[in-house]
Amino acid sequence: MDDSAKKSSPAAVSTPVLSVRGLSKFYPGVVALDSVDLDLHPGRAHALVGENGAGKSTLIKMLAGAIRPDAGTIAINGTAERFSSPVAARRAGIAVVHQHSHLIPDLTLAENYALREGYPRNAVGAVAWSHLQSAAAEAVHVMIPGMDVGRRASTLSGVEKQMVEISFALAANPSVLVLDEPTAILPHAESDRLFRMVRSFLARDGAVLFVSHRLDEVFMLCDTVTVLRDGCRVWVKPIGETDNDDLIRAMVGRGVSFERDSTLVPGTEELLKVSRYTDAGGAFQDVNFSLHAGEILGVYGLVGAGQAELCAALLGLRSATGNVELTKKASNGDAAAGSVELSGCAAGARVRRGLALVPAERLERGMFRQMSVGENMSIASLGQKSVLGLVRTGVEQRDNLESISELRVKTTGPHKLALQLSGGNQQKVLLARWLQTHPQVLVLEEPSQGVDVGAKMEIHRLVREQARRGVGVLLVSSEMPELLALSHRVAIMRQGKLVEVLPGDGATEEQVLKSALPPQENIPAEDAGRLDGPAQTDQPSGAEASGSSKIKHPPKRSRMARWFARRELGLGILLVLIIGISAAVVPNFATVSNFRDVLQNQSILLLGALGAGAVIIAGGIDISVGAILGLAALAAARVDQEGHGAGLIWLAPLAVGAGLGALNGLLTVFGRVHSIVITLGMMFILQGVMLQTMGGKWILSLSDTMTNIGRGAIGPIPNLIIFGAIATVLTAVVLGYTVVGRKWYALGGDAASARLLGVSPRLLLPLAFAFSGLMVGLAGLLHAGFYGQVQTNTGRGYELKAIAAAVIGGVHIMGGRGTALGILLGALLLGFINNLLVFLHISAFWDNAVTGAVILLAVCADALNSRRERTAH
Amino acid sequence: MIAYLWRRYGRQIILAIILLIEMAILGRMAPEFLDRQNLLDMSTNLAETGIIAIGMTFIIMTGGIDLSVGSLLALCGIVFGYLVKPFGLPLAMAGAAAAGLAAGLLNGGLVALARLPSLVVTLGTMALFRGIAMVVSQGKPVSQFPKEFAELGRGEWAGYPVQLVIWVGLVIVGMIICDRSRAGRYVIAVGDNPTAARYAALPERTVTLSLYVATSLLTALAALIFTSRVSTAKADAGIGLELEVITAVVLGGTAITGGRGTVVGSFLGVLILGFLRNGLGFAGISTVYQTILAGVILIVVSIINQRMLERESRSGRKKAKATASEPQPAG
Repeated sequence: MDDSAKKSSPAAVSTPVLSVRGLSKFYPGVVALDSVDLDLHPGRAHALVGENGAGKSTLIKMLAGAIRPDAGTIAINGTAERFSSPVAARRAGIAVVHQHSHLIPDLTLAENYALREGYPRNAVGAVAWSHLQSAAAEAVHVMIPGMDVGRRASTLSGVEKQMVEISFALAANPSVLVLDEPTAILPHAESDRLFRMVRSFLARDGAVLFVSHRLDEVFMLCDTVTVLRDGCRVWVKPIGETDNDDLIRAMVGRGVSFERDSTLVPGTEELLKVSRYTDAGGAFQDVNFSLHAGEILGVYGLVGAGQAELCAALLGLRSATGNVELTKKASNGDAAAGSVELSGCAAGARVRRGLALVPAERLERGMFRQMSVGENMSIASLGQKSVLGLVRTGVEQRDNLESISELRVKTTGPHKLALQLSGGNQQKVLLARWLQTHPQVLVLEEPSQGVDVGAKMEIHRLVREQARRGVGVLLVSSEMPELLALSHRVAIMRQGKLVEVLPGDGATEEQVLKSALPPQENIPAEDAGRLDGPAQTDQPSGAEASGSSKIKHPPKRSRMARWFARRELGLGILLVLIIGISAAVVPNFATVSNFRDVLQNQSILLLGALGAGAVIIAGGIDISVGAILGLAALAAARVDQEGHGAGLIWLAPLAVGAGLGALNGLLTVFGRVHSIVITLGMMFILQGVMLQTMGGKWILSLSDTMTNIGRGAIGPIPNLIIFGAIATVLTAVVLGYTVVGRKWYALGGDAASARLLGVSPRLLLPLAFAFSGLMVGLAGLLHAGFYGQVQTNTGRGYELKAIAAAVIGGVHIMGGRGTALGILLGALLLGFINNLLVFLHISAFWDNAVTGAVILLAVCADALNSRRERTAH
Repeated sequence: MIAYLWRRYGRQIILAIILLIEMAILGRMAPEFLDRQNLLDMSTNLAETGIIAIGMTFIIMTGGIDLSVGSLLALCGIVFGYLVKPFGLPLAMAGAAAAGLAAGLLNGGLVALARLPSLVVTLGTMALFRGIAMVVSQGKPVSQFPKEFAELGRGEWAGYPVQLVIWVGLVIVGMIICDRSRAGRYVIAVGDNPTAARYAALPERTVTLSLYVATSLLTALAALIFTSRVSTAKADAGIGLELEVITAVVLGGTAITGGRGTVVGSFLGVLILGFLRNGLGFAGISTVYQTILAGVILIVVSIINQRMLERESRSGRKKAKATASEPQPAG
């Protein structure tokens, strides 16, 4: 496997800062990495090249601490390390820039920076926000001068996000910088900037691991190059001892190759004709090809070349312009009667007309985990096997057994849970699913992904058999041997365009790879790093090509526009409108006492809404807050009745609220059950406890202390309003300025990325629930004081009103979005609408209907807004 | 094969055993509980919850939720109440059904077509429907229905209460749809892996929309049964009903996160909860403890369900690893 000559570098071999020995990773049925060695030296850039699936990503993920090796060691400065998490790897001095950014969309760039580098604290221990701003700005401006770090990450373009990730990595002052295809989407000027930064990093004795398909960049930047192939290291050489052709040969050269079948000859009938096919999202442009009956058309492209999007578009899952003509299915052996244009058809219609797509990434896009092998197989063809909507299980069983035997799926029977099969057999199940639809055109996307050699050969046999039966096969594959062995013709995609079609017979792997690689830019090494490189001929960089060398600022939406789209402004305007209408229409509306009443009435609800908002932002939901309110009110009243002083009267409800909230949070985290179920159960329990404690009797007389709390005032302002204001400010501070609060946004907004950054729900979620409980505890105390009594049904229905006010206020039910100001405005809006209805003598019965309508409008507005934000980039 | 049967029917079997144990215990505590007439009465009163639970099962299977069913029950009852005097019984019932249909289209349209989160949509429609019911009825109950109407809620068919027969019949239909129909498979697929459902070109929008419509229609039916049983249509009927239904469905073994579900499980869940209430009442244990017990059972069962699910998938992955490391026979 390793046929290199070690220590061929003429320069003094310094001690490696990163040393990998025998690193291996196995997945069911497949060897991703097999005993790979790698050394990174300070001040040296080391290139890692290989085809798709050679093992580069696996190696990088292990260095990043995202996955654990099955064997082998990683040593930093001589000491072996075990990375338990990405945070650990980062702390050990390895900074990785992945192909896709992990920025939390709803947090600002500065906060994303803080999640990685920690929050700077001032002398008092509070977060030093201005310090953070300047530190983050300093980091980011290295790559993007002038970028406003107060912007939410979601407003950045893909290029900008990548530049920010690079700057974050550099800011970590790592000893090792790993760059995974960093220039894949970067236009020329940005790539230049990157290389300059890398050079200064190297000059400071940093070590760089550079993964790229752009061989010209490899030659320009790196000192050593390692070639990976099929999970093994082929060789490692100093850059001076190799050249382009040598590299390509090493990347693809293999001993084993699959044999071609020359008896398989394609027909002449054209089954599929694709013309001027252009993706709406820009992933591919102007694709033209035709597929004939019995033909296997291979498609090769590097990651990001557009072939994955092409497959999705052919099935109808992505919108694209152009023509896709599919020949009509011939019935009873008659000659096909014309063709049908698929462009307007939904996915289901295309399948019925004979198109089938076996997608890549079978776990995410293919397998149904809770279904059996048989159910997974038949799911796409149930239409043919049902009568009156009921599945004919006899027919289904027969078809499934046939599939199992024909495809030689290794399973004890169709009833086995599909997930328990090996990768290769899962792939066969997926293939069987689509073969059962009897397609005319079969699109296979990476059919050998994660599949062992034995199953691979079987899949090839099946593909050939389909072709023999007259099916047209579009084989999108990164595995060259399979592609060249099976295909009659090989189409090559590069940066969104179908650039060449080679005859399958006689094409070599070098030819294909050469065609698929981005064209060479012959920049002499001394010139590299100059901001304006030599004039470019046709050098689009992937889907985000920009003619200019400036960073693309987000189009259309200026900063002002973004402010206007903010929920809070809309709510504010609506509120002013309602108040205006009320003042105009109702004579007694615009009085201090009326305003005071409205605010007072909403205060108790506001507290609950603020708490509910915090929990929802953190990704949970608490429908027991009504019951918690009741119990808190009860606690306060009981303490009061027993004659305790004000101190305990305050302490009891707050403790009850916070404690119950924390309990909800802990049960959710440790039970690993969705919070809606936990809090539903808690609601029943707490309602029961309340009834039991009260023994069915209402508490009707409370002391003056309580009444003063609830009905007192400071000057002209009632206590309730003061508490409401304090609570709003407190929530705003917690949500906007504390580490815990900001981490709630990360947790609720993108739990997966958050976990990679070390943000875990274990403590954060119970804290959010406890915060909400605290608010509700206070609300309970105020409720008891204000109404002077506690009934057995105190608090019923409170939770849903609180959630409604939060949702109207802009809190996204899916988490990660919302502000205290918005919640305040939402609660006020509901209050003033209700007030108007009362004044207009519109009966109180309209209250619910109007609340409901407002909620629905709020949700629709949210959806429209998110959709607009997404398409703007 | 045994593993398959266990996976498919295991939970229902456990639930049935729990139900029997529960009946035995309650019967020891209060023998009147096991009286045939009592059992029938009890089950009959659970029919409304049970019928709605059938639809809710499917909705939860897709990973969604419908909080508006309680309010819709009240609304359909009110609609019926106001239509029956001027237009007669059949038209009034049709009117109630039409209200259900409209509600279902609203919920389903927003969730399936506009792709809005079901929790918030049905939170909104919950308030909306309740509000409409209150506005129309002005808070006043409607009664004095034609005599024949009482047949629905208090009549008998072959010795069994009408609504019980209807409920059991619908459970059987629901079971067939869940386990044997195309739509049932699509529902499981959508809840299990929505991305894979898209790539499998399943008609997920149509299916999801129909589920909300079906649940609303079932709610309309439950509304008629309820109105007939208590002989009154009120705007505050059904408060808290949605949570009872959801509790029964989750207890019955359908995961709140979506995927495989069981109509029979929901049926047993309704019975287990309902019998618990009634039985404890007979034994002199106050409603308070019943409520607490219901909450505890819900939380405990959900955690157990989750652990079982995790163990299943872990063993699946281990088996997959094991089969991978076995020597593969030559292709």
